[in-house]
Amino acid sequence: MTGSTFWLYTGCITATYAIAIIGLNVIAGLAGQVNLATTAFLAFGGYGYAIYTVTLHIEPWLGLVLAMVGAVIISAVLGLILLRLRGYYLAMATFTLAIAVASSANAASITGGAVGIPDIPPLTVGPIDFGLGSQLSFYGLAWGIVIVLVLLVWLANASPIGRAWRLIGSREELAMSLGVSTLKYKVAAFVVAGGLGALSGAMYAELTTYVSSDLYSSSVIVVFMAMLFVGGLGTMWGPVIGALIVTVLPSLIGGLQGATLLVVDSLFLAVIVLFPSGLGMAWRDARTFRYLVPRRLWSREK
Amino acid sequence: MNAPYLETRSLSKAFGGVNALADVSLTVDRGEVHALIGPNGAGKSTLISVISGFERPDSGDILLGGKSVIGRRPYDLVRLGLARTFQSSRPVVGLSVLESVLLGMHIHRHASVLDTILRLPAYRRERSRQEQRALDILRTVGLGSRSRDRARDLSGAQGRSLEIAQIVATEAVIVLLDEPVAGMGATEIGLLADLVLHLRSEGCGILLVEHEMGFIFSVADRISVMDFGRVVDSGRPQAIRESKVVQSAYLGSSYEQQGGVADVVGGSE
Repeated sequence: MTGSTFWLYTGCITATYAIAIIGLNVIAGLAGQVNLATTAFLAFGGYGYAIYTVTLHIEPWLGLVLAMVGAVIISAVLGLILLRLRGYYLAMATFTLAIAVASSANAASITGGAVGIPDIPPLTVGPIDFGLGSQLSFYGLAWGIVIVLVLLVWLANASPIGRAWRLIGSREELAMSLGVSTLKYKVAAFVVAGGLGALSGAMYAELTTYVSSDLYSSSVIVVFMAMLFVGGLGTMWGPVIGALIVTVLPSLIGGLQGATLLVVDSLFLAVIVLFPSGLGMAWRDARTFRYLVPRRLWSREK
Repeated sequence: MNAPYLETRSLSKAFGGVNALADVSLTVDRGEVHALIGPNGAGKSTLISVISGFERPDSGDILLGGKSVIGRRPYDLVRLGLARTFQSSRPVVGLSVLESVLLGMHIHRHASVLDTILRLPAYRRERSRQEQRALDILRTVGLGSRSRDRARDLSGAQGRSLEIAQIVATEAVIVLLDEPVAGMGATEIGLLADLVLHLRSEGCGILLVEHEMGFIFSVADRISVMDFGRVVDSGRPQAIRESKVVQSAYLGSSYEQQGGVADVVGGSE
């Protein structure tokens, strides 16, 4: 790859990830519910799109819609069951779901087993092709979706719906006593996360023309959580900033090979400790940050 | 309507063999402040949890507006006119004082999800109406000038006033207040007493769990005393003040030494 195609491709990947993180931010950042199952919904989207288009030869746009509809139904059903849980229990349940989906995909024949499903066809509109061959059009499509989603989440967050989510996130009992059907709101947020996760997974499959179970392994869960926290949990642009930093940083450092994940994980831990509001809101934590550094290193007085 | 708006009939609830509530029957009517006192562990908070739908009683019945509401979830009960406060009044992260009051109007929103997210006229009309009402409520509770501030910047006492404002916003008929003046100074207690009396004058029925005796005697129309999950006495404040049962169950020997309830400041703790 030449320099410009590399950055174009990185931009496409960043936008694709950001779509999933925007959804994850709604359930985790706004409604305050732990969700480690993002990769499960990426898998529903990726495999759904692959099976519809490659195995069943369905028109790609319809395949994309069907994959999302499927994920929305699955997340509504799972949400009604799992979101009665809280804290560690919810974390374990969603984590188990993610692991189970990845290992089932690795074993089942419909998902191509360990090999996965190759040769996924591109989305097209007339002469415009959104596949691997013409990344510029994919780039435009993906970032267009990201901008629309950020706007919609911003509008929802500033509305009574967003206020109800944040009320559930910080004081669930008060939410109930003020008349918020907490389960309904939590499931709605989970469905948003599930649907956008599936959209992201399908677009990633479309871009790379390939799905396999290692795209949804447990280490990928950490990468997605890192994007959410690095950008800033519950902030509006945080998901985009986090996806950008976590995707681009390893390429900037370069030549890390196997150490890439170590860098991402270390960044994740450093940000959680030093900038809990995320790098998008780093100014908010700047005052707190200096208390972690020995006083003589920053104070010239006394 | 002659029957009291809230009535509990022989409520019982046990936690692992301990009777948290035993045969509790009491009523709260519109325009009445009914205070509930008793030592810690007497079952007052359990009663609040049971009436507000967070816990299910083992037996007994709860009537709200004449209908049995056993098994109803808290978010259904508020639609039937019952609201409560909590002992902790931690503000919701990132919301302004005005927005916090709007939370209390959740059950009175009718605009659709689409109208709401896209801010279509149906939502905007509802929103400006509710904001106007929220400002009125804030003025009533003495927070009129703080509407644009962040809720977390309020003092503890102001935070409790904000919770009262949320309750008013629900338009509840029956209000359960769980230790509303804990940790407050004399001035703030006076302001909260005024608020409770204001709610009463608006026709609310208030069930008040509290330890602060001065506050209780300044607002209560009726006082019930709980001990070991039972209501051991109930009556007008003056009668409770003189009751021997109450003195031994709740006020203890220090009461007799000091010579009167009015002198016991800060309750039993």
